Amino acid sequence: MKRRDFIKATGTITLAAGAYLTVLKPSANAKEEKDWLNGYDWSKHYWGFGIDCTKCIGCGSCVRACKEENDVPKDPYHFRCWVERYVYLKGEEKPKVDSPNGGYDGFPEKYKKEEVLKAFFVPKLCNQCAVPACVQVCPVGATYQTKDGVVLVDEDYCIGCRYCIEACPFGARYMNDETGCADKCTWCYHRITKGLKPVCVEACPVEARIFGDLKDKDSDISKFVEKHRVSKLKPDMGCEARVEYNGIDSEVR
Amino acid sequence: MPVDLSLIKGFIYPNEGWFQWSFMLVIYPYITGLVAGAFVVSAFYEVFHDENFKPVSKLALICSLAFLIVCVMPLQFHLTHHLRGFEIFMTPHLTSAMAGFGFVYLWYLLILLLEIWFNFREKIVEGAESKKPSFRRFILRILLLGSHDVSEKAMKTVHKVAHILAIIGIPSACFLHGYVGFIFGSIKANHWWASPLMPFIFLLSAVVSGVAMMYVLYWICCVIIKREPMNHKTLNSFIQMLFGFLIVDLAFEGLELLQIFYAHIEATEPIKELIKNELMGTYVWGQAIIGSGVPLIILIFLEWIIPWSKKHLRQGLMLIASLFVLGSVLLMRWNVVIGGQELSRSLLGTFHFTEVFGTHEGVGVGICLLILPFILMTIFSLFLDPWEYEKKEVN
Repeated sequence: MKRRDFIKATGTITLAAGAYLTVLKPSANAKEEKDWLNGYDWSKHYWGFGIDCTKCIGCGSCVRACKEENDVPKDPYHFRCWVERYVYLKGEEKPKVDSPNGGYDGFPEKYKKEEVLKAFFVPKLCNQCAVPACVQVCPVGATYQTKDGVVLVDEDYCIGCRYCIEACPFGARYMNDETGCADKCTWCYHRITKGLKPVCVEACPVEARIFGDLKDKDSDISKFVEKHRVSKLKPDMGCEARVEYNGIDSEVR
Repeated sequence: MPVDLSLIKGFIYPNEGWFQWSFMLVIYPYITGLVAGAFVVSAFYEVFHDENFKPVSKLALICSLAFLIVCVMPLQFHLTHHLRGFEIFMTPHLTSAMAGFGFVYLWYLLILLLEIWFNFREKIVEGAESKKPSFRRFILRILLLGSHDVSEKAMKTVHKVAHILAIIGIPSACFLHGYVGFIFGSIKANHWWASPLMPFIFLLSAVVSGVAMMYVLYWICCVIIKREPMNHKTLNSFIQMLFGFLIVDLAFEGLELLQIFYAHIEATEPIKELIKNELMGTYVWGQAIIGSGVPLIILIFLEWIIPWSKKHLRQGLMLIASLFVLGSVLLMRWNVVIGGQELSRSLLGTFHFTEVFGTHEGVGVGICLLILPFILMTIFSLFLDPWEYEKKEVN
């Protein structure tokens, strides 16, 4: 083969490969993505979550439902959502906080009624922060933010360095030993993209968990935010947590 | 690995009950620090022409390379998907401090390899042109990269390039380890880590540990292997250098604590509890009082009280001070990495980490990784022989 022919052949192959990668391959990916999402358009939604702590009774139904739905290990170290109990005893300034087994089994009575000044439960889950620290620190971009406001983990890409777990100010992430990847609450992304509610919202017997589309002004979450004076956890962290809480003290972190 | 729930004081988030960064993440900054520290020792001769460090200058370069090769291994062991580790280099997420480390590491590796190649140029050519066939000759012939020129003109260029590389190498080495500090210091969720001073603390402690390690190696070569008698000007320079950097390092660490206590931030009381309980042994006694206080006193004695004539006493005391400093810096890494995780991000409690020996992230593998650089360094020394130069020149 002459040098000119060789250069021609190489050039043609390179151009063909380039054309395939830039034009044909992405369209195939886009089709797969569309099929997987079953027509769901993430640019048309912006999901929001609210917790009404004045309603929560600490029954742990949400924790149990979450563990079942999302195959979360049943041990006391792995939780996508959990419930904390804040108890202010008479004569004490700081609250007593506990979360036995993440609230999975409910909360056994620990304090005498006459000693308690006030008490409330605080359900916790991933805040799907607007400026997520976990996304920032992931060295390979396995953790990413979707257009509808949810932070997800790509299990095919996570290397298992656990930097995101350390970076989350809310302790919302854990290492899934089965996949070897960081894991966390996704607000049941597999359900909400099909028009269902997250399983913890469905399981709550007192409607303490509120979920909906913030782009829809008539949704439950839009009405909840409109009706209550809500606050978010750890605003000083600059992560812009997106779970709206009603009825918590500033002691709740 | 799970923590003992009975050892939790106060309240921690449920997911914090599983310890994420263990011994591998302790020795990763430790080994990286030794890389930077050893290079700084070498640079004192290569850049600042301090003749007193000439006997250890080339050994320090080899040492730096050996530790640099090993320093990413703890991270590799730590990953749950070991084979995906290379993705940090191939598809880095540029906002991540950890991804940035990959580039800083590669840059420093390039500088160091070039520095070694230029510095050992004469030795490589000499060995490659040896008439006696050997495996060493075979390797050195590959390292020649096709150039046999050791003429006066060529060597002048080689020394010039080596000097420039050493100048570039100093900020690169400092950046390498300062960056490791940034990986921890930039985690705002952890109040024990989040500090703009963290890169400086890591860097200074790295230099301190590097100086101490180079003295220990020099002592082994002079006293145990008896390759050459110890140069007492070199010993004195080591004492002064260790003393100086230790003072600055302790000042920075003190400032960090002062800032936490004096500013009285939200985390001040929880951090006090952490120090009083979980870190009392490793931080207060281990790192501060024994690990830093004892060598500081020894160095004061060596600097001003013990006369130069008592050579063996000075050598021995400096060895003790260096070993204490090495232990102290290892404890410093422990106290940062493990201590930071023992403080709950809820700031409502602490818990105790129990180290395990046998797993791929355990102390056993960690000790092997701490020994490995010394084995590599010995192998490199057999090929490049950093001591023969000095022997000839001393004679």
